Amino acid sequence: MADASVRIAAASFDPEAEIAAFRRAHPDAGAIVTFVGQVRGDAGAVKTLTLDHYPGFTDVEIARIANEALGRWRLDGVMILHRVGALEPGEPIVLAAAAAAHRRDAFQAVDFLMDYLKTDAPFWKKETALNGESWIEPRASDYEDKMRWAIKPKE
Amino acid sequence: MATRVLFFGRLRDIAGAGERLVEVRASLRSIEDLIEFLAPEDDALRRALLDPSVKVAVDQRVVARASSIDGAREIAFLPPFSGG
Repeated sequence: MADASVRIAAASFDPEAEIAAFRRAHPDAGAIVTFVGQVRGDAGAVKTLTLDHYPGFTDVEIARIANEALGRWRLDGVMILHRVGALEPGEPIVLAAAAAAHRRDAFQAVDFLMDYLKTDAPFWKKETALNGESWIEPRASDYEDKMRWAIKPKE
Repeated sequence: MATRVLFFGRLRDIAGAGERLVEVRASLRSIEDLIEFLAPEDDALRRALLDPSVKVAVDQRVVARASSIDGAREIAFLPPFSGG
């Protein structure tokens, strides 16, 4: 049975420890693909990134994205771990992982998860930089990235 | 029964708070009515809530703006998401 693990973390997490646990949980998988997103500092210009979320709603929406990936590819499991709260440059903000019998399914699933998280996961990012505060909205390219998955892969 | 009205992201800043309690009366039928009720003298908030990019969730389900809010316990205004 493929499983989806979705967590929202209010405190800093250790991506290496999380990946090791995910790998141990899927000993029969031939391929483990992981993605770690970190807060960009933009050469000292960004001081803090603060993520807002909607408890009870955000988790359900992310689980839906994870389950969509399980339905599209042959996977043993997927994991999404996403930070909320105040983050500093260099801190991990998101971890997406997929375990599969073969690498292509795992690569595509993680790529898909990240594209969907950008536009469909209910988070709101505020950047505090040297020149003030601003809310970050998705770019046109984020929606274009998501559109790549509009056609489902053939069975 | 009071309904919780929630504002996220930039809307929280514009509303000045993340949450307001509203008594939904019979005259408030739809999301559009609620927006007029919430921001009668606050044009910035009114315009921000009416922006078509803002989604609205009633009891944690995204709904159309003409939807009824009768019996709603929680109504959330959601600007475009930016995760990842």
